[in-house]
Amino acid sequence: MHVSLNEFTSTCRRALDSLGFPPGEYEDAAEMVVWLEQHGLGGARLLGEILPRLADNRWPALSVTHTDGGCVIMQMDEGSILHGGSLAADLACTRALATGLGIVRLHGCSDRSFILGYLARCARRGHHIAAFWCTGEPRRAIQNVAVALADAKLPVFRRFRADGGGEQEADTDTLTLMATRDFAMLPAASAEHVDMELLEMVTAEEFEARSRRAWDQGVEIDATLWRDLSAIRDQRLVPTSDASRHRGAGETNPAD
Amino acid sequence: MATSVRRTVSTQADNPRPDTGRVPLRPASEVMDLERLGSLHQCRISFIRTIMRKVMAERWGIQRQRFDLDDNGYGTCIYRIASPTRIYNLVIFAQHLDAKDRSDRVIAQAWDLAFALCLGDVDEAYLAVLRENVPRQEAGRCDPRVLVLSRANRSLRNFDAMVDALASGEQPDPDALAKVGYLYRTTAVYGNGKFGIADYPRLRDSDDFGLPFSAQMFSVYLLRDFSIRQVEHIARRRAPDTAVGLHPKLQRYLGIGNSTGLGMAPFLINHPQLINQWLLMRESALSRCLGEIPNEQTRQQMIDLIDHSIAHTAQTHTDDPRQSKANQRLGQELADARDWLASTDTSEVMLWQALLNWSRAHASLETNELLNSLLMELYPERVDELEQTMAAAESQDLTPEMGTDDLLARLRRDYDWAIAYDFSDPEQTHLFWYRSAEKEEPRLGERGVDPGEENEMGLDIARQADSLYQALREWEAQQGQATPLVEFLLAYPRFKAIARRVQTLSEHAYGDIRANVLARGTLPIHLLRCKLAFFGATKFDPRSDRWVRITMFQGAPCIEDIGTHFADDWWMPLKPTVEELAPCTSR
Repeated sequence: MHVSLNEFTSTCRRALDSLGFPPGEYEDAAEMVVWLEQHGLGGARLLGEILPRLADNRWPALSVTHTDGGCVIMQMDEGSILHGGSLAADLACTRALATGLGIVRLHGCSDRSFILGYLARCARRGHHIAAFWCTGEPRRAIQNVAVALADAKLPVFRRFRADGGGEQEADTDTLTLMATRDFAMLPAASAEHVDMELLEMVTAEEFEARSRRAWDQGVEIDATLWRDLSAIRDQRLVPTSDASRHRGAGETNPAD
Repeated sequence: MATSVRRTVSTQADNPRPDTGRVPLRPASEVMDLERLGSLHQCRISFIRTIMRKVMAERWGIQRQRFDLDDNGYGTCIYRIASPTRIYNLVIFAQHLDAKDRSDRVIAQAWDLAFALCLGDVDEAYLAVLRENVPRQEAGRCDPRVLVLSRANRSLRNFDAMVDALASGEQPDPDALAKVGYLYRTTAVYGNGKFGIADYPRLRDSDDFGLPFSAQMFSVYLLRDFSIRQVEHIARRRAPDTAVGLHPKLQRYLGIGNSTGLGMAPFLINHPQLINQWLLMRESALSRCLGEIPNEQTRQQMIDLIDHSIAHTAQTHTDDPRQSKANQRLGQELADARDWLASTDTSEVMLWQALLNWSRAHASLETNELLNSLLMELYPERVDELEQTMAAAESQDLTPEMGTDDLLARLRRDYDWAIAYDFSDPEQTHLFWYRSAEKEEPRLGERGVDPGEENEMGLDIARQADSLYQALREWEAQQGQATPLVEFLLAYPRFKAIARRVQTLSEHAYGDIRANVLARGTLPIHLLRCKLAFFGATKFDPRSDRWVRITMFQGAPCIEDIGTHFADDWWMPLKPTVEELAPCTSR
């Protein structure tokens, strides 16, 4: 089904609001979903997969289990990165400003690719920030690396098979965020490293082209997902009545 | 606990700030008062003024390429528009509508006509797609070739009377057009991605429709021409031997109506950076004009403008007692202002500021703001360029490293008006906003009386700011010190939206409307009028405290006038006199 980005954003926001996301969080989570879709990384499909479990979380969904200056370990209770994961990135940025380097290890979270859209926002605010997470099956780990440099509109995203032979255990519920004030080293990861097999790389230019295409043409969303999102969104609508029409909307002689 | 880091992020690149000259901008406490916003009038940088200047200056080519209407005026009409850079088509579907189905409410399911502004030419195959979807409006689906989607209903008071008059060889009664100055009222004009149409960013860099709401306003402008051609067509089909065309003076005097309900209110609250930009440009224009040094010529021009406004106001009709009283007072106070201006011996250098001060001291908000709009008419060279910076990026980013003490200070400085409310008083939370299941229309309920409180919309900015203020104070007391905001939000994520808003708007003074919109007695119509004034509306005709009808493009050049001299002085038209309506023989 064809929808515009504005429609998709609005519907995601209101559906997540219906699911109990607090104000501010539902906007950020929706923007992370839309960002991934807009930039060609399947945000809508991933949202469709996790939608049934998004309603089950309690807020606040993140807790700090250890902190030591610029290093913080946080825990989610088997939640989605959409459940406040943006604040983990904000915490990394804050610690970076205070100590030079901010590292946040977030355990127990899924759907970590959604963080890409928030990295772009951190960069827009003037932070250098990178995210690392591991996907794949046990012993066939794939490292995902996203780097966003200060004031750049878009990050660069790479996926590597880290050891070239697939012998690494996959740590599939941890996200590592690294932010810094003066970062020249973040983009240093090179596709030419002998031990790394580059599986995919999306440059900022490619993201830009995908984004422009989405703004021009809208996006295609699975009709079932659209119906489900709309149904969740509509849970916050209030049934109408004559009183609602007359007093609530101020109706007087509408056909005159 | 980490210590806070002070840092400022500027968003000026996306929200341009113009030079304002030697006179300071009015403070937000004055400008953002809800009643004052509800007293605004259109001005030179209102959107319909801007689009008319553009169309006339660039001599857009507009042709009625297709006009397939039956005897009753039902059928399809296509306007082909050639701007200097692109081709557009406005496709109009006019259909029969039973009287019982005619409603201006957004909850209506059918309309007298529906229309779409499309990018590029429309072939027969695409026309069939549009015919299938455009008349269904919210129930249809469009694609990004459609830039604007809208619908309109006939004004019963005018339409039949005008057809009857023209068919019998007479011109319609100008008094009736002074009372209701249009044949059609639009009831929603959709842009920005609604129902599958093009997202606004597709237009943002366009030479033609990059400015806010310009595509929507242009579509409405063309509808005005269609309304004239349609009544003439019906009259000719009914009485080919006697029918006459509408007199050119009356064609220009005819506008297009709009009927607006509460749906417009959330927009103002949910787009604070855009609202800031609109008001910043308007206030900058005012400030620039106040800084100009008048002479006898400009003083006389201002007196003439005031006289013209008095006459226009006298021809403005409404059944609403509050607005009617306000219009009467406006007329009287304008006369007082004219007398003051004609007789004052204030030095010329200070004259405009003295006039502003006089109106602050002696006149209503309506008069204040109309005088401000009139003043801008004197200095187009100082005002008109500001229309180019009416757009703004709406992006509220958190500054997580900001100290809670810093945020508290910003709350005390910028949201003192919000903290001053006593939200333990039930009168201050008497109302709540909700979305109805009927087409998601925003409505107002009474707390404890109407159902839906648990699904309240988050438009309660004053209450949220007050809650944040109290929570931050408790947090600092618990922590024994200020902390970075992110630490607070990790514990209390429900404050993220309002915290981010306060941070963002501390750089955008005109972003938040300074009112508690939950309080008993709140008049939501003020919110509607503010936005409509920026559109360029005139003749505000409230139908209740939460629903208003207005007129647009009344007095504007007709499409046949494009390419002729344009004085940009059309915006407060006066009813044509009998002498001006000399017998018209055009058939």
